[in-house]
Amino acid sequence: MRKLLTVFMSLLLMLALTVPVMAGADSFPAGNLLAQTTTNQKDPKAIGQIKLPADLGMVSLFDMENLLKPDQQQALMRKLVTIEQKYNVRVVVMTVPKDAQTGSESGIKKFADETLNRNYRDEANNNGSIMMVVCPSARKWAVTTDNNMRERITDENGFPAIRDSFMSDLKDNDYNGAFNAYADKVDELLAYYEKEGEPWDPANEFSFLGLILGALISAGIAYLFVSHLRGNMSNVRHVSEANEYLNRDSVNISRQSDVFLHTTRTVTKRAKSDNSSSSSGRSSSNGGGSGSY
Amino acid sequence: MADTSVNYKCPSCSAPLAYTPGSGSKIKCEFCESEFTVDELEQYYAAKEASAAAAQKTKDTKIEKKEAELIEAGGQWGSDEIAMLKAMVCSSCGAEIVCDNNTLATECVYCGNPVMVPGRYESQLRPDTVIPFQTTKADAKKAFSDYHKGKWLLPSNFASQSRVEAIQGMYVPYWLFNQSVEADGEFEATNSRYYTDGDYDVTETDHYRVTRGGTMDFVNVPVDGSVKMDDTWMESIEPFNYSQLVPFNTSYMAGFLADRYDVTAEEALPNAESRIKESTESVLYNSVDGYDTCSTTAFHMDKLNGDVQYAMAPVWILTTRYQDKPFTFVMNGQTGKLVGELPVDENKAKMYGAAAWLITLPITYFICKWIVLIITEAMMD
Repeated sequence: MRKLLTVFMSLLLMLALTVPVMAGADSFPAGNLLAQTTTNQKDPKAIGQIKLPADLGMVSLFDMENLLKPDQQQALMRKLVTIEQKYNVRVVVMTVPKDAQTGSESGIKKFADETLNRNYRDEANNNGSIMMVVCPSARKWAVTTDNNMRERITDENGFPAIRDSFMSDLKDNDYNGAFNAYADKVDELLAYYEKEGEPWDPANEFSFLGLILGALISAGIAYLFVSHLRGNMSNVRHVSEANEYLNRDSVNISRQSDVFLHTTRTVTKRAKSDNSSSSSGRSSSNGGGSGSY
Repeated sequence: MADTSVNYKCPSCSAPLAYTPGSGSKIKCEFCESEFTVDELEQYYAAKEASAAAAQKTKDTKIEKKEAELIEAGGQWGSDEIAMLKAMVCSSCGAEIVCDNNTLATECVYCGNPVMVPGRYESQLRPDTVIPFQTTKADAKKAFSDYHKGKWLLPSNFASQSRVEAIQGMYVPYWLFNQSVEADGEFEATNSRYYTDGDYDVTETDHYRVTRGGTMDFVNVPVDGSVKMDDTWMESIEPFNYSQLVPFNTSYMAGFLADRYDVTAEEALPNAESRIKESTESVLYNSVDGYDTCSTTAFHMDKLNGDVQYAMAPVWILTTRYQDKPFTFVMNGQTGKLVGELPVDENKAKMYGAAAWLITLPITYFICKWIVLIITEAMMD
């Protein structure tokens, strides 16, 4: 009887401990691992012509264009949620169809900003939100951040680093690779901020090539400096001119002519950027940028 | 026996006389403070010099006989060496003074009296002008000590261990060339404009053929007339201030060494012409203005009127010894400009090199890192 009572009490205790954990998981949006296929679309909201579910903010991956296979979706969702929980942030990936808005670089950025602001922005309670939106049919992309995230991933340095991390995969139509590269780079930049207390800046990174070049130039400067010091040890110099002995008053330039011969014209084509582009599209409330691939 | 040399002694007290740098055309006896002009002294000693020259000639004949005997005896002196030697007797102490054939003035190694070698200023060998010494031995010493101050690579113990072995004032023979020239130069000059035309950067360059020609005069271009004195060193102590150039008088030599020339004016002329040519080309080149670039394509120079004068210029020669190695310095006896080569402490050179490398490394590293970042970003874009 006493044994049965002990087992019953243990079960009650386990239940009491488990319920708050589940409740906490439900109350924290980052805990919801929903893809487009499992999202509740009962109350859609529209941004432009694209209708989005009312509870979009519960998911971190919304693949409207079905670019990822189910196993890729699962793996990416796990990665995004891990990052979100680790840094108390929202890291979102979304693919959208082409419409009047998402078909242009500025339009897709505006769409991304509005979607982030309506569904993910919660600066009072988290450390920031970042979202990547890709429109494969228009071959446009955008990354947007809220102000909290801009402190961690700056528009000047962090955004270009994120862009550079996924551009080559996007160009190759490797969307899974691009989204994972984006997530990894966000993770890396947030980890840097956690550790250093300041956003990542490439100027602060150690550059081996810079060191080698700097060492060589310094060696050149040191050589010139010592050569100069050696030169100071002797003031014996060959004099090859007689300027000191020229009677300046006697100089009489009596013959002079200036004949125009011809004109040469050199035309150089100015460097143009390649077929991919990006623009900042920053505002006071959102950072990031957009581009084509 | 007649004297074969002439000592400049004070006519009042017979003390040795020497020209005091910066005293103009007067010589003052340091003992009795009597003052004489250089002309008075030259006149006073002219007869003595003539007598000494005659005696020297007799002595030279004897020496020639002796030379023949020495050569026959297979002595240590070669015939060329003996021909270069000149022996005379100090009229002050009677000691025999040996110098070479180019020596005009020296001092007796036994009594230290200034000695003039007679018969060396005859006819064309007599200098036209002289720049008297304006600086003293003390000035030379000070210039030397000032010169090695602030030299970072100088061995730390140089100042304490270097020993000034000798400071000798010397008149060096110079040829001073006056030359008028006529020259023509042809130059290629360009002016460029830059502008943008759509997607293109355009550079338009106008080419011109420019010619300039004219005349100019060079006055007293110096070329040293002594084989003993290195041309580069003598060029280094230029310029001399020719406003103090005075007609030659042997009295200015008193108390200093002096050599006559052993490089003739004809031999020295190419050196002067080369310098004149470079300066003439430079004058014509600088007269071309209003262009972005200019380069010489042809140059021709003709000599017009010219003459040359034989002058003596004052030089102090300082000989020092550091760690058994001699170091020589030369100072312009008129302007005080000192030139020379100081020893280099190789350990200090390495140390300063390493320090410069370490100090500049952080700066060059950040600059290079910045450039690498920009290039990398440009390549990624």
